[in-house]
Amino acid sequence: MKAVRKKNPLIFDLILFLAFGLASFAAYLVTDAAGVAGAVTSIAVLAGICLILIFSR
Amino acid sequence: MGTPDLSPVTWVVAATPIITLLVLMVGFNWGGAKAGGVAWLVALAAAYLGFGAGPELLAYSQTKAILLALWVLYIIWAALFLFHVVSEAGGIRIIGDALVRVTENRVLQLMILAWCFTGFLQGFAGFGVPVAIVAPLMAAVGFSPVVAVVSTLIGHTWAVTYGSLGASFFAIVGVTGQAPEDLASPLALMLGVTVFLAGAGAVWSFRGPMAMVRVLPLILIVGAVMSGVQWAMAVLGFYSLAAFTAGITGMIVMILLVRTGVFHREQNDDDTGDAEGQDSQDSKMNWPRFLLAVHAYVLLVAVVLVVNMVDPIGDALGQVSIDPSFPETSTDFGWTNEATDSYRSLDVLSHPGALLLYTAIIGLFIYRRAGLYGDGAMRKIVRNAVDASVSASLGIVTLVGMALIMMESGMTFLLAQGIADVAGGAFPAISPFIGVLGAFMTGSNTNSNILFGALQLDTALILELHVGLILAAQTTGGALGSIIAPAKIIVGCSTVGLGGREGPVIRSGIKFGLAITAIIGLITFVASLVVGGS
Repeated sequence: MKAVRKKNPLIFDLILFLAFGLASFAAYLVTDAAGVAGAVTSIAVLAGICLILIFSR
Repeated sequence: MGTPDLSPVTWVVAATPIITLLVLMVGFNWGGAKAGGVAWLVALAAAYLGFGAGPELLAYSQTKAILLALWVLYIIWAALFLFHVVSEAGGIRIIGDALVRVTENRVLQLMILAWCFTGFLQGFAGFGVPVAIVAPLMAAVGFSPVVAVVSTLIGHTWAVTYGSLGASFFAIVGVTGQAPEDLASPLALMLGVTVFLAGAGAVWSFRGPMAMVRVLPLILIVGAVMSGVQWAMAVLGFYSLAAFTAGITGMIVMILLVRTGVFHREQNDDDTGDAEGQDSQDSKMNWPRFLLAVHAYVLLVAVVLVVNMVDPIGDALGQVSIDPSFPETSTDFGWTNEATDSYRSLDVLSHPGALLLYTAIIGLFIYRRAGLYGDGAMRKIVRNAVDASVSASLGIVTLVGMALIMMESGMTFLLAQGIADVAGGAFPAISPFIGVLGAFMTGSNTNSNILFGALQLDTALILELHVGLILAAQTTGGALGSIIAPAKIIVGCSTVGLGGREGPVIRSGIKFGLAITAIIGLITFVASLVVGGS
């Protein structure tokens, strides 16, 4: 993951930021539509993005 | 009560995200984004396992978090874009060069640059920009690198909260849910005191207490003007322009007082004389060039005034907004977040960030027509602005996410309860130090307000203290934390060739930073006895 980020840190961080933002917005729609299952999925996606953020540095 | 019973164990569990952040950023030197990611995961685990926060509550909290973050980030991105539009045209350098020509007196030069000019720059830029611009400028005209960095770190603090076109102010409004008009005055009053302390501290850091005493009348007059303008603009609802206009006004008054010789008796032979690299005072001022350099800021004021005061324009631009509603959520312990029809409504076309963008685009066009851009300037502007924004944005979204998890699960309230139980009546004196801690950890007044704004609010409510007073102490502490924030010190030192040798700057910064914060703490404590609760 560090090697991927090293190729272009700016683009990598920009994608991570946009992913986190979109996933946070999507959490509202998915939870509204699918209840607990949707909420769990949303949180899992956000947690996954955080892990990528941590291990890419 | 809605939370687990307060005990040392539950308090520590509630504090684990903040402790994690502190340890990683200060102990292990991790960046804000990486540490923020870990703290987000820790907050998630603590809220779910320790505070009974279910998946739906947590999911909705993250949507609220991104809306709050977006409110602040819109300003930050646009402010950095505008800054680079002006900087690429040489505008900042032109303004700085002009200011240095005003006087040969070194103390007065320091006051103009480190106190007024940094405040002006902080007003619309922030994020270490004032220190990064002014410190090397001061070093270039003969100030020692340590003095250049320390004086600018101290001198710009008064403008941090209403700086970045109000980003830190809107952050504390957002996390506490207080009406901006209720917070504007107490915040501006406390920051008004900081204006004088910042000016005095900047001069003291250069030439000691006697030099400060010699220019005290100037500090009082210019300080009164800057604090008065900042307060008036804030109270009138021009939160985005408060620090920016105060900085400009301070510079103008300072220059007039110095040029008219009103304070010539303050000059001491030790304080005059050319330094290596300083331009001769005899070379003429290029007024057309200077006016072209500053036009973007005049334009900004005009755009903000027009949108805020011409109702048809304001109404038309307010048509497009992001305005979601949220259902009620609650934890297993009974902590409840009420349903809302409108959470942090964002008017896309009339938001302060949008006004900055309009100004930047018009400014870009004018500078281009004037031939002030070289080849590839547009690409450079966008790249520099994105480069500066992205890393800060990642840190902000994870921190705001963490803060909302803590607030919506009752963790912040339990922390506040514990602090109130221990500190009791002494809490007002401690309050600004909490703000300093937040800025020290995160490098930013905005992030300190996001992290601790709700905590300070809850503690104030539990102790029946004046909410505006305590939140003013929080944000003032967050601003003063800029003096000792490692992120800002590193930025400042790297611009003057002190990279890797930050020690003297840190030592001096801690001395002044904690002294000024202690004075603010004392003022907050005394004021809490006078104003009572509300």
